[in-house]
Amino acid sequence: MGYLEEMEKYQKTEKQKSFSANFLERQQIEDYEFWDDIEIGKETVIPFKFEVKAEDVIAYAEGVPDSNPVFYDEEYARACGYDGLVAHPMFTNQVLFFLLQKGHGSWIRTPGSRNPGQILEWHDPIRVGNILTLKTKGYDKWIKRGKYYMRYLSELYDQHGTLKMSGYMTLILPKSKEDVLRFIKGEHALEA
Amino acid sequence: MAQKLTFESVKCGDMLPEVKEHITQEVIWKHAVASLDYNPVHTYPE
Repeated sequence: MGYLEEMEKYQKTEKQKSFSANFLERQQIEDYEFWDDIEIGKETVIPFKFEVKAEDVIAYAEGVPDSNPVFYDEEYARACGYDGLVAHPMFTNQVLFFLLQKGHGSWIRTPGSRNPGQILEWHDPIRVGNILTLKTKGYDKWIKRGKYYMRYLSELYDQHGTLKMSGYMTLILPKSKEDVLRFIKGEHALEA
Repeated sequence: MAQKLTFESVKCGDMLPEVKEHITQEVIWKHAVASLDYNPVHTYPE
């Protein structure tokens, strides 16, 4: 996988370097959650936590890229009324991908998935030192024009129980593991 | 240099300045590394 080796030169943080980046690895696919498996109403508190470090906040803003100094310069952030560096709002993407590497919610990694749009609300800035917990619930799934849609309600809380982000995450997915395996072999397997 | 806009200076219906960005595979890769979204549709050109 040459593209993964190419991308390694952009990895800066401990989390970026330790992350399982190969979404196509067969052994990883065995641990994914598929459209067929998703149970509506099932709620899970993901057992892993995301501890926010300054390097995570800075590296995300650099990668966007967004030059707003509130993401890089602690003195500037304090002058803006924050008590330190705050994360870019879309930093929550990194948090979700980091926490959902296997099991419940890992549909986010499915090869062949397509993004029809997301609804996100940010309630409180994510700060360096926050320890984030993710709660997810299967909200709905449906078939439309032959495509398999699913929607999850996801909520991120910090260690004090403060709600940081809530969102309805929607993806179009391959239906089953067998369809994913056919897709990665180059076969048409994404629609009913 | 782009004009700096403030909250007070913008009115409903105003057209914001045009922004042009050249999106390369490198730009996409950097964002994928930042977000940990390594979905091959973004990262694997072949």
